[in-house]
Amino acid sequence: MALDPSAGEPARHSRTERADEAARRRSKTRRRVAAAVGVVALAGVAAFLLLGGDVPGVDEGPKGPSQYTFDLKNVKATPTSETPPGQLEDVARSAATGVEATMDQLYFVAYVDTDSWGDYGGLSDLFIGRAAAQLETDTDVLTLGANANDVYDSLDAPPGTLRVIVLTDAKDAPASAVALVRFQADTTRKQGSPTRILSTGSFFLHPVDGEWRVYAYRVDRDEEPRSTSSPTGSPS
Amino acid sequence: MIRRTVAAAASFAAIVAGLGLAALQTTPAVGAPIFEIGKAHAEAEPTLTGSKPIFILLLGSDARTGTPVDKGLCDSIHILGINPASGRATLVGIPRDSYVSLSTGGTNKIKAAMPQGGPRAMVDTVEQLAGVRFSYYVLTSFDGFTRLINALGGLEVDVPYSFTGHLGTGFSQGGQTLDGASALEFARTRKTLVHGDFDRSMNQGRLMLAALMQFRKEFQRDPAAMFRWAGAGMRNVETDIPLRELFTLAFTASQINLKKVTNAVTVGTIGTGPGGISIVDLPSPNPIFEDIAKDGYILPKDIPEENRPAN
Repeated sequence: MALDPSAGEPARHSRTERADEAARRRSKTRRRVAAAVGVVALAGVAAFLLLGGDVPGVDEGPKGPSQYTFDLKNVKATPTSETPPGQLEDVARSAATGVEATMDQLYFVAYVDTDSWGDYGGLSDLFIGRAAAQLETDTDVLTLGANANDVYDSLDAPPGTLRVIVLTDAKDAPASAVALVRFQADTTRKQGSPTRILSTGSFFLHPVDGEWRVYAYRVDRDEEPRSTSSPTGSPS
Repeated sequence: MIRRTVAAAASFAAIVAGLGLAALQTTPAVGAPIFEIGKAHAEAEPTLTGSKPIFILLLGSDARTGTPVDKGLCDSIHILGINPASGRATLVGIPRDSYVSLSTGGTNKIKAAMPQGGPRAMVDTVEQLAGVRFSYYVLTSFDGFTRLINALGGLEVDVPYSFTGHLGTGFSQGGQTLDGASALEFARTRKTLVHGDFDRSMNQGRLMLAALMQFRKEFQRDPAAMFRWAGAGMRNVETDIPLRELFTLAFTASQINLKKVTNAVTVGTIGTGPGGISIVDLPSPNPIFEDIAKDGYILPKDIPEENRPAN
């Protein structure tokens, strides 16, 4: 039996085609694997971010309270007229309520509101004049800090104390006020170390269009390592 | 087999990708400052700025109880100059018997301008005398001054030398707290002082510097003291300083270094006027007025030897 060279071609072609088919299948499988890996990787990242990831700057960060309220301890009127201070108690208390609202908002944005950490633009409306101009310079003293999101995991602030002295004008209307503030908060840093922040100071405010705005301040901020067994009081 | 391979690879990729992303995002950006634990202080206060000096006329009226404060004679007259740029301030006392041209007309003792035209006449008279332009005036009376000092709990004064007041109070050299009545006697005594009207004017300046020193001390200790002083001040003086401007001045005062405040009295000589009355003659030109008008302050070295304060 002579071999027909041409007769063998189909057989040879058939082996090549089978080899090619196998190669195509391997290639197709690799592409499927790669695509699946990509899809699942993305799903994994999404699940990590949505469900368990603690990634400041991408997620909403630690959830905090929706407001902060000082404990108004003392209100005093200082008249510039001959009216006895005792007769100005209602005027002073009414003014102090407005002052307290401003201070509540100031410390909420500066410390308590986790959404504001690192971006304290919400404070600018509360300051006027020289105090407003210097706000950015003093951010790290007046607030949790420009890098709060990089530094802190959580903050717990019980109500601080507030004393308000109201200066009335010649017509016994509130003209200016000084708010004496003591704010304390317990924090946990990202490295896990707990600290206690104490912010104390005097804020001078004027009424502007029915709102009390800060025109001067003297503020001290102190932060020290905290023992975890010494709670500050009622949690916020 | 392929499915198992795909699942394993996907899980591995997810873990690696997730951890990598998390690591990237929890690591602060390179170069970003980390807030250090510790103490920090910040303050912002409205103060005078700029190179232009500001002048305030400080007046004490001898109006007694029942008499309008602007109808009394001016017992105490001081120019307060403040130079915000240099942080310097100067008080220049003008003896009440200084014989000068009054803005209300004629020539008389300067103290007489007040009953003739009130504080406005005093402002105009001193402006034309000293060549300065006042932004504000502050006027108080004997009663107002006494109440003011008492409201502040007295004034810590460093009495430069011992002397007996015109009401018989013995003032011993050295630091002491004067109540309102004692401070008024300290400010009014003239005849028992070596240089009479000049020394009295200098002592009035000493009281003002003592008040500034005490205000600074109390304000540093308790910023709320600002309101106590503002309240006591506004209840016992008449002034054209708006309340908000008063705070700017008060914050400025709180930052002035007392070593940069000069207490001076104008140069002049005691003489005799028409009818033999005792007067103070002021030279013209007057080097003290020229100096303070220039930039709002006088350096101690520029005060003529004979006009430098005792001690």
